[in-house]
Amino acid sequence: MFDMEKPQIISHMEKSVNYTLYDCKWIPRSAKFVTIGSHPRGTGALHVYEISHRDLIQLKVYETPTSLKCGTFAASSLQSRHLATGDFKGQLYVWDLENGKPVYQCDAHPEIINAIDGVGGMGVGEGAPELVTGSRDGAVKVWDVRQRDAPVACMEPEDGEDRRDCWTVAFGDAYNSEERCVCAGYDNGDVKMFDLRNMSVKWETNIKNGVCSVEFDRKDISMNKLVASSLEGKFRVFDVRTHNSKTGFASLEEKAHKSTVWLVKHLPQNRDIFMTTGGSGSLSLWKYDYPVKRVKVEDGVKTGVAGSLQYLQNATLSTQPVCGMDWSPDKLGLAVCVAFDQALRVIIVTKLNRI
Amino acid sequence: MASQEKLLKLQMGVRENAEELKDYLKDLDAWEEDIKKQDKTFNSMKPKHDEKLVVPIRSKKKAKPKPKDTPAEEKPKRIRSYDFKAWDKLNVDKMLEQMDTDDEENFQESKIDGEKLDHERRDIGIKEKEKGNDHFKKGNYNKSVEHYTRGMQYDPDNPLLPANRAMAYLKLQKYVESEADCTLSLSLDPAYVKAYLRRGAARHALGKVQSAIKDFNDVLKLEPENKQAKMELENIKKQKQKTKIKQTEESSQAKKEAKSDLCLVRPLNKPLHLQSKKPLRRIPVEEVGHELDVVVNGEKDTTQKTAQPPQTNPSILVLDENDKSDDLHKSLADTNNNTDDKKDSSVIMTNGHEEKSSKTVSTTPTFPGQKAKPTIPALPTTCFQFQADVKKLHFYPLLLCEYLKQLDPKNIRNLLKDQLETEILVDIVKSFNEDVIGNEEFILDFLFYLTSVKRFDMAIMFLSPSNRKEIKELFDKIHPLHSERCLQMEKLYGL
Repeated sequence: MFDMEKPQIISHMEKSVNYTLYDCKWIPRSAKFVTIGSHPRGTGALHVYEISHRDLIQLKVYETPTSLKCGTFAASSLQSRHLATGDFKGQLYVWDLENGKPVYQCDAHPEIINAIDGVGGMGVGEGAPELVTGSRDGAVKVWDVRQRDAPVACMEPEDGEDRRDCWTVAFGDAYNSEERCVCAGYDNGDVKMFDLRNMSVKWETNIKNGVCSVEFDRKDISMNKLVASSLEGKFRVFDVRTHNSKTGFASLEEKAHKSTVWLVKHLPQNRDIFMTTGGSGSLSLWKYDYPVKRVKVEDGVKTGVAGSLQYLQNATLSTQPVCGMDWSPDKLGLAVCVAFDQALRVIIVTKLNRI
Repeated sequence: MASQEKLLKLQMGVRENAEELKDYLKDLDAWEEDIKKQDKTFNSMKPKHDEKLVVPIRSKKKAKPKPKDTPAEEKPKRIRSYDFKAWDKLNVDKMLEQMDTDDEENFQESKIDGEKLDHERRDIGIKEKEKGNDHFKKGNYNKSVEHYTRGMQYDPDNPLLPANRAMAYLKLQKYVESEADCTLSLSLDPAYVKAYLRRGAARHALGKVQSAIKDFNDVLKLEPENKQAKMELENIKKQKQKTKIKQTEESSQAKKEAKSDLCLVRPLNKPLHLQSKKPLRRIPVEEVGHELDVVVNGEKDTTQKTAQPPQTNPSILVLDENDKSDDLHKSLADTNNNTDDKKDSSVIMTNGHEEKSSKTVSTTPTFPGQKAKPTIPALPTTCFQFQADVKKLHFYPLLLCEYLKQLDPKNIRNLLKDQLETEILVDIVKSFNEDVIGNEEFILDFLFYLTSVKRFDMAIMFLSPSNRKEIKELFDKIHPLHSERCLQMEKLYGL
């Protein structure tokens, strides 16, 4: 049945390109976004587009030496708006998109950087601007661009331990200049949360299937919710406010997409709404509803209580997995996504302000 | 009925959704305009950085608290290290506050070019400086030089580091390096008295007495009561007098020796601590004819071809090849004036290429007022006047340079017509070599118009290898600023 109150997911503009797209990011405080990908000849593609009166204008085209996998603006200031990228050879670059020149470069990992995230820039999150990279070599490294060549923190398995492929990383808990944590998801279903202040593993769990994406609902608050999506069409929402030393965090599992859930992206303007993208080219919009009481006390020990999920909308845009998606931080309901069908799409989600 | 109602509802829903989308798109257009303005303003702010630089790098958080002088180093008015009262008054907290509010001032040019940001580097620079100072105090000059060097790499804008390294070099008696470091330090802080003092000392040690005096005078301009500068100036004066006396004595001694040996080691009366520490070097001598008559009568035969083959010991030990100081030339002149009347045949050598000067020396008595420092002659009107003036200023390259600067390079051709002697050319190059900095443009112009003089080709044909080397040296000095023109000119000068 048609529900008028449901938000719509509309593909506003679409553009095909001649290279593989992996990621896309809105340039903060602009109507521009950047697409990140790889040319067939093994070089990286960085393209800048601007939406202008229902048209998509290509502003900049840069080709980088190595195929690019992922990128973020989150550790850059609003004035500079430099894009940090991870590539297939494990190099971490920070680019000035005005001229396409790197302002920082280092060999971060011996193998591909699968995921990158930032904090401290853009006025989001307290403390120093930092980047975190997760790589196939199993290491998660935290970088401060003011320190060349060496990471400021490195989390990797000890010698002799299994090195699992790290697929995703996310910053969170950066509510003051001291606290900060990194969450990483691995191909074996491990989810690990590292406390950067104490340099320790704060919490870990396994969600059985490879973890494609993890994201906190907000980076700059005392950590609240964490969503981890997995290979077998499921994702799990953790309430990470209340930690029970025995049972860990309360969580809720949900099926979606009937295929790999590639991404989880929280709406910047409303942290309870998030989009998941699927292996079949679909997008799903979800809303998390908190329980009446978020904490219950049993024998004097606090335990979190999971809430429930509301399935808001679904739309199939492509035949191939949607591997990159980003909400505009400046305009509610505006987003861009890229899929393996070598197309980028600007999407509009309506009625988000009425949910 | 129910299905009709449903259909109606559906229609309404579709229409509403379409409306909704239309509204959204309108809204989007408005937003676009708005955000593009914002975008522009952010772009225009780009050169500045609002990074919260106060937040330390994670791995550095546990490092020692910053040394107290860090903020002070960045203040426009530097507190002198010996000014303990001022240090006591220093309010560090206030300064930190100021740093917070005043990001721009502190980090104007902090490009995140991947390197550590400025204040971070400055910290390292200061730490290295302190290490260097410690080693210096212990007398470990080589170690301290190492630390200062490292510090300079991190903080190239700090005038203290090169000045301190200069001091260490002075102690190590590496005067050339010391002079260069002082010059570097002064380019960073032209009012840094200590750098002038150290450069003065280094130059004095190198025998560049005139420039040393200038440095000490500069100190007195900045700090009229500076005792050290006064003392040094006094010392130089005394030494000058001493060397004059000694030289006349020694030259007469040398004459006696020369009679038996026909060879004379150049009298060089520097006090031991000022003498060059470079190892003595053996230089083959090209005898310039030991009958003075040859020289006096043969003013035209000044090329080496006329020189007679050496009859005796073909080599002479030469001290300090770099020494070309003015007073030395004077002393040479004195020596020769004394030897003249006796028709002594002595060869005086400073440097391989200065043999000619020694010849000219012996003919110089024809110019009056040679002993006293000549004044800069007025603009020449004829070619001969020009040549005479150049010869007159032969021993005063700096004055000669001043003199040449009066000329308009474009008029050189008119002035010289077709008269350009190799000697004149060499003198001009030498004088320019003494005073390159700031005059590059003029020198290049001058040398360029010189090439248009008719006899220019002949003149450069007769250049000796050492003269060519000098010209090359001159171009090398200019090279970094005007590389293209230099290359072109080097070709013209047959290099």
